[in-house]
Amino acid sequence: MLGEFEQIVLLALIRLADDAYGMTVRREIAERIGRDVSIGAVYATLDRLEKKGLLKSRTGDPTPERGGRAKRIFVITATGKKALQGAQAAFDRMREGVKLG
Amino acid sequence: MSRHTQKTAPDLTPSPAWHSAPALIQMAVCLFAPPDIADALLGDLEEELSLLPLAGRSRVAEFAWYTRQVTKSLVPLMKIRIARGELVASVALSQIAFVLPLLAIECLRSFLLSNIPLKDGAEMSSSFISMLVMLSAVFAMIGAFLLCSFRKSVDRLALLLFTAICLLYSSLGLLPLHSWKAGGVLLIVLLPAIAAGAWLWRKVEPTQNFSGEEFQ
Repeated sequence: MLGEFEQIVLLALIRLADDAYGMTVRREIAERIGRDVSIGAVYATLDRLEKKGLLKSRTGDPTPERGGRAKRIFVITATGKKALQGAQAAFDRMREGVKLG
Repeated sequence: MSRHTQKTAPDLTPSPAWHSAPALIQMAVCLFAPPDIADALLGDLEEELSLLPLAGRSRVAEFAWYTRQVTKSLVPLMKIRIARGELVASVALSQIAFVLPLLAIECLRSFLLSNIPLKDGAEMSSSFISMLVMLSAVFAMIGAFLLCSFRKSVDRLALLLFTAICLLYSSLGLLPLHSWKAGGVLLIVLLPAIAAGAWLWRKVEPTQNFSGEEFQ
């Protein structure tokens, strides 16, 4: 089962497509939901999801604006998409017929 | 699930006057984060920092932002290392590296004193304790350096050995540092030594991670 933040990160990866790396994922989350998460928290979640096989990473080319450091680009896997669908479906089923307030 | 909309990439054009990140804080990231993540993370921070002047921020604000990002990141980064078994393993072998020589030195000292009349059981001098602490630091550094090239199964064995030695060591009352003050001093000396050992290994073997696998 995926946690809330894990789902948010996976959704950010889908939104960012080929441009998903630590900084863009962090900014996407901040812009979309107004949550100022640390870059460390983003990497910790990405690392955990990669270990679960829900995403994969590759190293990009180093660029001068990054101080000559390479990007680590993340892509969601088919398993990741399936897990995300399952988590969203479970949430929808639980929410069905529930009136809040 | 419906197909997600593809968002256009944010404007990442760097400011021509981007500043380099504080070196000391970068070092903290290198110490806390796994090497494969540290490099990408520092690059991300540097890139985002280069974009900050575009939003009209001052250099002080940039520095504060960078420091806050790193400070908030240290605990999650440490959690990654714990989850990967790197931290426990590093500490374990470096401890073995210093406990064993310390034990040998203490045994030798006891043996020598037992052969000198009226000297058996004498208190250790401060210079002798200082020497032990210094030696411990050196061995801790070497231990951390060596461990970084070891594989996971060996790390676990090292952890088991360390626990066994520590239990034996403390039960025999051989540890010369009984008071909490002395323990604190030892800890202050050892932790930087362990970090230095790990840092040295990264300098020597920058293309491998702590489990001995090559980076992607």
